[in-house]
Amino acid sequence: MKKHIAVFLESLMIFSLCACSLKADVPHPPAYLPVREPVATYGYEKTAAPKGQGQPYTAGGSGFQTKGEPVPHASGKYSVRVNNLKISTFFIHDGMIEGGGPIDFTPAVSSFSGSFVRISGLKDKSLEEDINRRIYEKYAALASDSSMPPYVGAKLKEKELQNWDLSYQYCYVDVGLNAENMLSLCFTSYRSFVNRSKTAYFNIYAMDGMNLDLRTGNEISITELFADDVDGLAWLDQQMEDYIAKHDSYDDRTSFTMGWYDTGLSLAMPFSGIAEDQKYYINGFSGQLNLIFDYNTPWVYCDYMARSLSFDIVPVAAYSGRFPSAESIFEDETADYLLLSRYYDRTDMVTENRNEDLNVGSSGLKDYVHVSSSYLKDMTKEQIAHVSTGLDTVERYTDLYYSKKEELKALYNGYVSSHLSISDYCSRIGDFVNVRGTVQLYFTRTVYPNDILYEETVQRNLVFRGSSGIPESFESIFRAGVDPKERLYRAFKAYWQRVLDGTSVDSPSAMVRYLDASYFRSLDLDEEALDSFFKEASQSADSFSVQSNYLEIFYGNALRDISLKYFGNTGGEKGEKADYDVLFAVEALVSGASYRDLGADDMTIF
Amino acid sequence: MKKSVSVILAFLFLAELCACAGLENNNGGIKTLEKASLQISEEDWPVIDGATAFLPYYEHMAALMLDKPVEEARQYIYCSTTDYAYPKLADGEVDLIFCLKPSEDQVKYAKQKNVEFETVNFANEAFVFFTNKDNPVDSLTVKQLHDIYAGKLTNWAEVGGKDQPIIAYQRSEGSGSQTGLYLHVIPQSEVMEPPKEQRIATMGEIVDVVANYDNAPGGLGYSYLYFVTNQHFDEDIKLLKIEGVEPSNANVAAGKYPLISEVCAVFRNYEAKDSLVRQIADWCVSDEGQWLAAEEGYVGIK
Repeated sequence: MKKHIAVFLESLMIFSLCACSLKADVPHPPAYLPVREPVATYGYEKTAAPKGQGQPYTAGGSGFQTKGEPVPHASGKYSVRVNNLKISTFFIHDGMIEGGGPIDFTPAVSSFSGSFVRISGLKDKSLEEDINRRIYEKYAALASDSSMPPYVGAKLKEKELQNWDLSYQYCYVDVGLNAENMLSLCFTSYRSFVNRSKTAYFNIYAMDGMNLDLRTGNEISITELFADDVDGLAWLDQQMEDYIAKHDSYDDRTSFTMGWYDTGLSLAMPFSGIAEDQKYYINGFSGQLNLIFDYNTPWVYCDYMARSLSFDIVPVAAYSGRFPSAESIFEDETADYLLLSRYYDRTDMVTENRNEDLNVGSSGLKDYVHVSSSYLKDMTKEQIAHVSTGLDTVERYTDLYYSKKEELKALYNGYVSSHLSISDYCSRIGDFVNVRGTVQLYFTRTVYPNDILYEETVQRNLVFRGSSGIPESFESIFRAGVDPKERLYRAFKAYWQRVLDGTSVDSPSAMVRYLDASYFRSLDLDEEALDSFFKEASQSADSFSVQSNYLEIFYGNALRDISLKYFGNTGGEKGEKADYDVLFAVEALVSGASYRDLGADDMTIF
Repeated sequence: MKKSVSVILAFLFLAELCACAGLENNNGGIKTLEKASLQISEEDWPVIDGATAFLPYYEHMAALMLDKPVEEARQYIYCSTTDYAYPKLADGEVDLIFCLKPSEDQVKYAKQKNVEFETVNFANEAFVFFTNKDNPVDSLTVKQLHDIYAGKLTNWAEVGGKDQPIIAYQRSEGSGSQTGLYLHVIPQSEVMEPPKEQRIATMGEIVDVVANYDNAPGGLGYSYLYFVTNQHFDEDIKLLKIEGVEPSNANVAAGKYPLISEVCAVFRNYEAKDSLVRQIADWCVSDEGQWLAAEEGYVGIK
């Protein structure tokens, strides 16, 4: 009996629903906002689980459901403490630094542009200034370099280019890993030559890394990245050899490019090993090590373009604790963490596709049922069992699809195109697995494909910790005694302030997504209404996914109701388009909450 | 005492092993070479190009002749690959290239440009066939290989193996390995058209796919010995003997292995007799050039 109840409950929690109908004349959101479908409440057959069943992620006004006890602090290798460092970008145009004076170096070509960064927020101001000076000097050196990098054939190439013009140069600095008292930067330069008749171009692409121990300003060698019991260079050699074994061609680069869709690295001569002074930088969100290949690694075919190849070093890395400090070295000591994302190759995923009812009309696909199930090979059986295409969802929705199809065909003399797509996508962030299932069902008139007769979109989000087969509840990712909804409300407020201040740009660790402050100011939103909107949204959230620096929050169909309630009439004379602009804008403010704003130290996920 | 004896024995064993494997490098008594006897200034240096497979040879050669470190000397040579180096030589863009002998198409292209190639063979490369290590077949004849790639022999049982289909992988057209197949085993006009999935784009892939017993239990692939042993050794494949002869540097050097491709210095036939290009090509077959071939892991002609 218990088993039957469990099966029943399981089937009820399969989907958190947001039944959506999309009208053909709905305007698009402003370009800087993510495209989201406007949600209406007149969906077809609601299959939402009843409220109060005690499962996580069910839709409805009851908000998050409590499930289980909070899990103890679970800091893993994929969790790193973020540096409270402010990084400002300075753009250069026409020899002038934006917001500053003229540049004090001579670029290789007058038509030069680019950007560099400066850091602030270290307690040791003299060290901070020294680091900024070194970043600038390295940047200036790269930008001023007009020489031919010493690749195979460089001297011959110099002769070839004697009568060519250097047309423009672009140099910039990317910020990589900014955590655990380490700062990784990638310097890039792009130089383009053109012949006199402007019919041919030749490009040189250079890259270099700068990896700093922020306690001392010292450069970090590649071997220091590895745990003490790992021979870093041997590990890298093995990774390279595996890569070569998997990918390389030695006598035929032209066919090489035909067969590969990745970085396309090719050997120019036998691999001779990774050197201690190998150039590298570390990716900011994945923690992956990016090896930079150029003339210093002649065994990689480069053709004057620096290449990079990344490896998931995290399992053998010593990011946490390699450069410890008894006291914070940052002025701002607020706790903040990042969950490193995990890279998966195509071969690490299992994707199963099933199609039926395929019917191709004169203008393309007329009818189809497409079921695509995708999950990661290293997910546990219990986790995979939650992939929707393995449950009764397919049967349920295909039944719905065919009955609806018959119904509409009868109404429209058979001129109906019908589409059902059921898909799952799984991703791993830190020690967590996000499973997102989506069902899209829509019918259009065959001769008027923009005339949508019926549409329903259902989405479900589940989060698993480690190898657990039980989805996490929102409560379980906070420590005992913390009110998650209140935290969510506070995080929304903090983010709103960050958007207004423009600091969402400079504080990537606290940024859910970039939103333009000036646009929000132009909307002149009512602060009181906004506060109520935040409060109600925080109570209505029904599921989440774990991202690197924030929780993505989902609301089913509740959010549009709430935003309409507080901002549905703001359009006034501006018309319907303005209404939607406002709705999109305020909904973007509650689409996620950063760990920093939620209070990272009170969360169990780090 | 015992220790000394064992050290001596070990030394003798090692020396024997090296000699057997043809690894000894004392061409003309040369133990090491810092500078070539042929010295060329930067100004007079001809435009040199070639295959990536032989880059270690000709960049080291440039270093010895220009008297510069390899890191600097390699800036004075191109490495456009065989596919591009031959047309560039025919078009007069480069003066000397280091490649395997030209294919029929490459010779035809040169003729259209009123050019003939002259080749100086200075090293040899074994064209090898491999299969999964669990395949009981150890040796094939050239005739059997011909018939396999003509589509006449389709089951390993027909060549002394298990009753399973022969999956004869091929490389893409224009690749060095495919040219080798046409040169050594079967003319292009006779070769069967492989199913798409048996046309492998890269040399690395062909080794991988044959090594993967689960996917290709009856796989057969081909490549060059230098690549398989120096750049892409996979423990799950085994090299097949051809006509009963094992593909090894020693057998290539002794001329016993039947499928040998000639590595050549190639130039236009109208180069003057005393031109630097000819002098460089001649140097490649000298003791110094042969020392360099062995030094870089190739099988010289001497």
